[in-house]
Amino acid sequence: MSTEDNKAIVQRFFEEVFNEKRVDRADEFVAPDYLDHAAVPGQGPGLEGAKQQRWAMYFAAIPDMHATIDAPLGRGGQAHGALHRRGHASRGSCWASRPPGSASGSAASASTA
Amino acid sequence: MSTEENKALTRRLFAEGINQNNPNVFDELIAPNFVNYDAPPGMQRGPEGMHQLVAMFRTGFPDAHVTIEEELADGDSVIHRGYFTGTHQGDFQGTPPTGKQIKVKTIDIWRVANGKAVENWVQMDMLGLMQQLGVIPAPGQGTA
Repeated sequence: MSTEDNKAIVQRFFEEVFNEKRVDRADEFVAPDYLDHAAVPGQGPGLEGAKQQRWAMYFAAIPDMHATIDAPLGRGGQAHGALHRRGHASRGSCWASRPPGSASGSAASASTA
Repeated sequence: MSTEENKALTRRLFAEGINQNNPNVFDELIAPNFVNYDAPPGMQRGPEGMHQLVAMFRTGFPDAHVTIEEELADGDSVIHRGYFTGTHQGDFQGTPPTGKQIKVKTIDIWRVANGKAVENWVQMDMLGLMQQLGVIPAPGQGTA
């Protein structure tokens, strides 16, 4: 896999799984034994754990969550992106719950492909 | 500047500026127009902004230390993934010292030009930090 291929995998993951909320599409971009170094409390192992706990929780709490990649960078076997996530918390529970409102934050992610 | 030179430059900012408590390195390696896009409100541009930011952390955590676990460079950019450790021995953003030892993950991105750092993005697990200090309840603890 070239660095460009790896960048494309991560960019498509954010677009299709996060922005289009198609969790089933994660199977194409994420290995079954994927290791989530930032797992949430109670998250099961691998891709299934991320699907069922992490992403399901995000989308339940912030249905219009959106990730924008500002500055992708690729080198070797890795792709990184600085991204902004934006959305409205409306229902559901995301750790300590907050009153409904608008949220915007920046994030950095590191992935190995 | 090669990617290796850019890596070495940004590593010095952590090794000397934070871990060895020698903030003079910021004056040497940070450009006058340097901007940290994730700095708290009120921080200046240039080396002075980095002095302010590091002083804020050192006041709360006099033994502040950054460990770099992974480093990537491409073009004029360098990315580090690692963690920040320290002992809460002084006021930190309004929280009086608790004596607690904290460890939180960080990812930072630098852009280097003409031998100096010019741009910086930092994501530090501030929620985790505040939870470790007991300022914010951890998930499953306390009431919402």
